[in-house]
Amino acid sequence: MTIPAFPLNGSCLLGDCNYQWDTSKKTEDTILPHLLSEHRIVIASMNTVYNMQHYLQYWRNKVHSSNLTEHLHGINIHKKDGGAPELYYMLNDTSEEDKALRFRIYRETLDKVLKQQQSERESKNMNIDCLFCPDKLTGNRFAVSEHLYNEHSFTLGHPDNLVYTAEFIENLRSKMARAECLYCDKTFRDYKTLREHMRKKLHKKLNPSNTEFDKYYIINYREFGKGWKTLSEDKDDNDVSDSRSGSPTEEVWSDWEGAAPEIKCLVCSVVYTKFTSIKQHMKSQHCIDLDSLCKDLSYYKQVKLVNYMRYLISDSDCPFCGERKLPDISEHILTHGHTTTLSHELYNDDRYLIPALDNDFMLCCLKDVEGEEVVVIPEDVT
Amino acid sequence: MAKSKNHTNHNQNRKAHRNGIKKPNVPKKIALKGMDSKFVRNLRFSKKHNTEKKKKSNQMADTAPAPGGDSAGARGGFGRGGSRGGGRGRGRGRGNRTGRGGGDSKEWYPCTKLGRLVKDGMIKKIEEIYLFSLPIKEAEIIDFFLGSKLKDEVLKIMPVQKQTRAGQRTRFKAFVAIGDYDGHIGLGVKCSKEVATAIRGAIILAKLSVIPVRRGYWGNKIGMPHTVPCKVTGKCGSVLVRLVPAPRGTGLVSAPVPKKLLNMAGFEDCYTCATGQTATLGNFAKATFAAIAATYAYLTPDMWSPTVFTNSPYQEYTDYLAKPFVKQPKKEVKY
Repeated sequence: MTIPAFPLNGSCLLGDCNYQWDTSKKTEDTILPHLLSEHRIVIASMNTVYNMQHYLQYWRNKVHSSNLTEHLHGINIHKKDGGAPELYYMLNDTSEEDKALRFRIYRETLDKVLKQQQSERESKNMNIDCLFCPDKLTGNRFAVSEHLYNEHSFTLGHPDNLVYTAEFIENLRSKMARAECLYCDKTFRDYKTLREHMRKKLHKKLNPSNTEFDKYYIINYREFGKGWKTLSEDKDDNDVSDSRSGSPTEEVWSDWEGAAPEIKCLVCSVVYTKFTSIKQHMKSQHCIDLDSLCKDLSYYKQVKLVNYMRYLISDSDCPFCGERKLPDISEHILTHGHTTTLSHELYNDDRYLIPALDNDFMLCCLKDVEGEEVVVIPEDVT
Repeated sequence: MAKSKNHTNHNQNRKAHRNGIKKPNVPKKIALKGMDSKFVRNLRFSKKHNTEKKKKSNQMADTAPAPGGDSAGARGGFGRGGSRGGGRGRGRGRGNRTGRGGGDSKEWYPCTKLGRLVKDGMIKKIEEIYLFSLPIKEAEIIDFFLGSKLKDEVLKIMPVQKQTRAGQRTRFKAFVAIGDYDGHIGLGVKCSKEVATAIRGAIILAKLSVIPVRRGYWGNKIGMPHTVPCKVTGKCGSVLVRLVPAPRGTGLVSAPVPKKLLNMAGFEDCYTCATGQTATLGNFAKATFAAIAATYAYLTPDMWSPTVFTNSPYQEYTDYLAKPFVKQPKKEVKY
């Protein structure tokens, strides 16, 4: 289950240029030389551009060959052999727009990468071949790194620091298939000599200075524009000092914001996040007044009522009059007008305690009113 | 005729080994004649001290087993390989065994009284600790009792930023829930510069916060308990969560985040009522945790009979605690 890190093809910055570049290769080899030679455009501070495609796409919408000077910095460069000075254009983060764009792309990339890592952490079925032996490795990526470490003494780092793991391993495999050493990048005659070399020189590890693998480690996405090398030189922060001071403001639960769960309407497929909005919708669109229906009912009765209505409506039966197999259930319910009560016997069955819909958040919004006593026996305290 | 060579190495080794390579004769007692008297006195004292240390260490070697020497620092660290700078995340050098799942290669030297009692088997069940509300400060205690059954789940990793003089500083915050799906649950949050460190720290904090969960039966007492024993409430921030008992087969009716927690605690059926800003999932999770904790705080009629008070483990085992114990041997620092 590999989600490719970056999609495969990108277009040039200028809309009228048809150049397509292969995003899986390094930007320095493909798009940057093209921009320089064909259009005389230079992009500065490449380390803060996290996603070249998004960046170029944004500018493509704004910039045409005609109005280059509006957005880009124009620089006159004198050529060596004394010809007329040529105008070169530079895109860098002096302009506010560019800076904001780069930061936005950085945040988007960071979120995407963390999401990808979460899904990789939860997926239990990675199925890839081992790099060094003919074994097939299954299970989660933790098991994969355990095998590589225990059997082959090959570590990539803690699996929780990695992202796009399957792609990473495929990348390494293709490198080894080209008989290139993973550590020193030297090419050998064939696979066998490569294995011998790696065994003798203990090159069964990765070269930290090799930037090719930077995108597979989360630490490189952590700070805007800084790779792991500059971060490690940063003497400003220390894990130890923080844990000792406690930093109670940082380890709170309240800043985890998520999406509020959605509530589905009883009749149609409209969803809202607030209970009051869905009640309003049902009152205005379907003439169902949930407040009056649930008035004075205990919690369990309300649950039964909601489930009863859901069961019946999904079977195209009307919950109010009992008519079955109606072609247009929402139309029919409107004809009842504002029915205020629903007879208790209709829904007083225990089977309506079982929710009709999976993850029905409406049941969680019902007000808990003290009602009939239910017999619940607690387990023994030993 | 001129000689072609004046010296060769050939045959020299054979000649030397004919009469054996003799080691220099080093006398046991060095000649002290003419040495400064203060120096000689000092020599005597140091000799005495060294022989004492040797005797003691021989004794220690007989009683306590040698600790696992690998020093990759953190508990069950992986691929840190000593130096912080180079190869962070690249696993340069042999790191310690992988943390989650494995990591039983390190010997546990308890540093709290409770830890010592647990390690030596004086405390048979974790319920004895809960009965006296003793604070648990070592995660290994929980590992000892619940060990393999505990499963951890990372709820969320999010980047948090702090403004410093040198610009912004981002760290990763990990929210972890841990439970054995059969009556125990814990929550932990930790912030750190690397994702793996944050997760590891959060797991340890989650283990320290493990609480027992009381379940109940709906209607008739057959099979295993599956639902909440009574209506319980928990509040955190603006979020109020109420857990309501449900009949068998209902399943867990709630939003995804509390559902995970209820599942890990061992509930099969439960209704939830949530009010407040449920979008703050952090508070939502903590409120659910508080509600689950309240299951054992609720006094039910079967607990009405008068309690027979027993001694707390600290009182019962005072003489055992007074005995000297094996401390963690100090790591030798090589210069």
